[in-house]
Amino acid sequence: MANGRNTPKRRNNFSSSPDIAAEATEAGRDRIGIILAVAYWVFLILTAVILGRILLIQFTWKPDPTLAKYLRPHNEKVTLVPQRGMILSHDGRLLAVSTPMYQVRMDCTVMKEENKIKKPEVEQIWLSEAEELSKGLARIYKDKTPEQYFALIKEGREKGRKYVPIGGQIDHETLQEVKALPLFRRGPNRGGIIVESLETRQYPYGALARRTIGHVRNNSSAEVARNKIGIEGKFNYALHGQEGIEWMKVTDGRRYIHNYDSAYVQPTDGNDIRTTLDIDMQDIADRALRHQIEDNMKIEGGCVILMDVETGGIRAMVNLLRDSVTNQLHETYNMAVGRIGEPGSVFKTTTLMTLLEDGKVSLSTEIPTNHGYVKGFTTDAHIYDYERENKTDKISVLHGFEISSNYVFRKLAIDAYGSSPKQMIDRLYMYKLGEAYDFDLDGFSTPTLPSPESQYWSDTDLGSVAIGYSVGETPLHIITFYNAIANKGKMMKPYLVESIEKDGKVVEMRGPTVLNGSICSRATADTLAKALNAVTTEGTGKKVKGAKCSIAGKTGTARIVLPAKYTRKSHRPYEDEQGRKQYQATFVGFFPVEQPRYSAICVVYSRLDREIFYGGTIPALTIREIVDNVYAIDKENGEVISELHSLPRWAMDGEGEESAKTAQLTRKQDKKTPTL
Amino acid sequence: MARTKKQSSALRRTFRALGRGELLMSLHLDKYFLHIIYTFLLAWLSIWLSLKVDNTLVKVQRGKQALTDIKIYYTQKAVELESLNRLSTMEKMLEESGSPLVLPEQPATIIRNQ
Repeated sequence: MANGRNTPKRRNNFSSSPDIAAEATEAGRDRIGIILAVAYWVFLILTAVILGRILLIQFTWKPDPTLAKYLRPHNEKVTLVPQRGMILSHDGRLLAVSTPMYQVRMDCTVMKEENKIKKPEVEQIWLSEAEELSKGLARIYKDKTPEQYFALIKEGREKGRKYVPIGGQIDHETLQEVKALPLFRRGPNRGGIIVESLETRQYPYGALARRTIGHVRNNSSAEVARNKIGIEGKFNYALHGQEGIEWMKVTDGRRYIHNYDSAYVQPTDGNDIRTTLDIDMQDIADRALRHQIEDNMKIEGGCVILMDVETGGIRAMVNLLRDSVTNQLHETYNMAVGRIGEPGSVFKTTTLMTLLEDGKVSLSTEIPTNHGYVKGFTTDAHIYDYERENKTDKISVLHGFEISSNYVFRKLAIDAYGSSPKQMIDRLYMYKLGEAYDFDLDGFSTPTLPSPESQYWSDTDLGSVAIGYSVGETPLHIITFYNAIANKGKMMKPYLVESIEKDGKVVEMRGPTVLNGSICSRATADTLAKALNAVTTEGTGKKVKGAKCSIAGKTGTARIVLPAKYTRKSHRPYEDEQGRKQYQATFVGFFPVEQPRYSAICVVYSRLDREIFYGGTIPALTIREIVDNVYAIDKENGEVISELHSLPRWAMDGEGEESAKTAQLTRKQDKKTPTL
Repeated sequence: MARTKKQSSALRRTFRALGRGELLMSLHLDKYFLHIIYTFLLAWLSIWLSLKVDNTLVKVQRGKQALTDIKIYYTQKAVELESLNRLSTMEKMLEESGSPLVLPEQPATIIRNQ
């Protein structure tokens, strides 16, 4: 390196020209040397300063704690939310699926300070862009006019609002449109757009079976305890999945990336639930019930269950309850499994089954009419009319069943079991009408049956139980019993969940379960089917006569015990002071009679009124509409045409002769097809 | 005393060498010049690779987000399509479009090959 010590001695003016050139070179070197020396010293000093600062910061400097968190390397623990499992119908159609929805907000103060420093024209450009944005928002959200949106943004900017909500929740596709709007397309830092992702559950079929499918407010475990509704709630353990953990770090470019130096726990997505529900049948049942009760404001609500006879799988479960304010029907409470009521005459079938099984009567057994009077009970007006019309003092069990005579069943029960009522009650327990067995939904109510050994047992209880009073049953209990009759005495446990699946593979098969292998003999089941068929052809269930396929069933009309506030003055449990009553009207049965495939129940609850609602009217008509439509869409019911010869087809490569043959078809009635 | 003097002389020489920019030469580290350069190169390479890895991870993160977006889009389209699959919705749409097609009155006939 050149320095002062090596400076060459000055030469005199008489030096030769090579000496002059050498001198000039030496001078140039000196200059470069000086520059390098200065640069070296600058770097040296800077190094000393930096080293000094490092030592100072390392050992003495204590940063402000609020500032410190921004100075440390940012490493954030992120909980990875698992994808909640889907709920599928029995044929794999989507009933519930999780997908995020988005809430857009706006930081109206964005670029405000920066624009102030610049020229006022820049702020004007921002505002004109905000005006364009307002037009776009009004077009997409359709909840405000462009002027209202612009006023919202302008006011927010003036008042320094940084979190102004824009419209309601939108889906992913709409979000892309919003993001492409003027101003918002500049991103969060320059455009002020803030997007919040909200995990939501989508139900493609809207309100259909909503109470059965249920809901969990969000996919977190904490919320479940408060919102454990339907299949979503009961099978949350399978649907939810397992959260994962990921550590994220910030790059120099302020981007979040996965930190591979930290632990990573992969989330496990939830399993899918395949239900027994048939969404077409659900739609049919929902529409039929709405059709019957929607415009009748005297009806509080109703429910329908459609069950597969062979397996007990529930194909449709409708629960429509009228909103007291709007009078609209909504799926707000699962009456089918949760509402206990006195079932009324549909319970007479249990009495008849017990009598038949114990060999006490046959359908042709005749009993004296006795003007419809049984000691301790009011006179049965049906019998009085029957005596008058038929000029007889005897009535058969079958006819008593057809006209749903209270007298006949009270008398039969009292005569057969008056001395041993426990025998009859025990039978009811055997029919699974006294317990809430394990079911795929929470809130399945336990039925109430009186006990002859209880101090509350009275002399009239047996006669009441025989006709469906003094007992409390849910619609699901009743249909399960009737389903067993259709299934030749084999009682299947009703169920809603067919299997739990993962990526299309079955993880847990739940399938059909037998509740009671034989609640009655095959002969008794056949006799009861015959009696139920008589009800729909000759008796109280005539409204279903003429349906596209034969239906066997029973009607039931029961008064509902009113709350004490209504009966305080009337002193009657079923009547208020104005003589108004509430009814529970039921129709339950199965179809086709010859080879039952489905059993169905419709229960309708009336509001307080003077009008009587019979099971043979609205519920029977609902079931008929359901049967007509279900029958028509079920290909199993279709006529089978057998091919005798090949069908005509296009001639190809000289196969004309064969293809030109006239096809002859013969129609053969499939053995499975019921006779209509 | 002599030792202190010797130390002070060495320190002076060191500072002088530092001032002249001859410290490494005076320590005879010039023979390790290539190693020093190599060390600097490694440090630079490490920083450069780290930045490249970060950039790649940012791209991976963007890819993941794009994949999530596509999945969300697919799910929402599936939901939309499924909602059109409802019997009553189909009936309503057919009615609105003036189609005479309605729900079947009778079940479908099956042609079975023998």
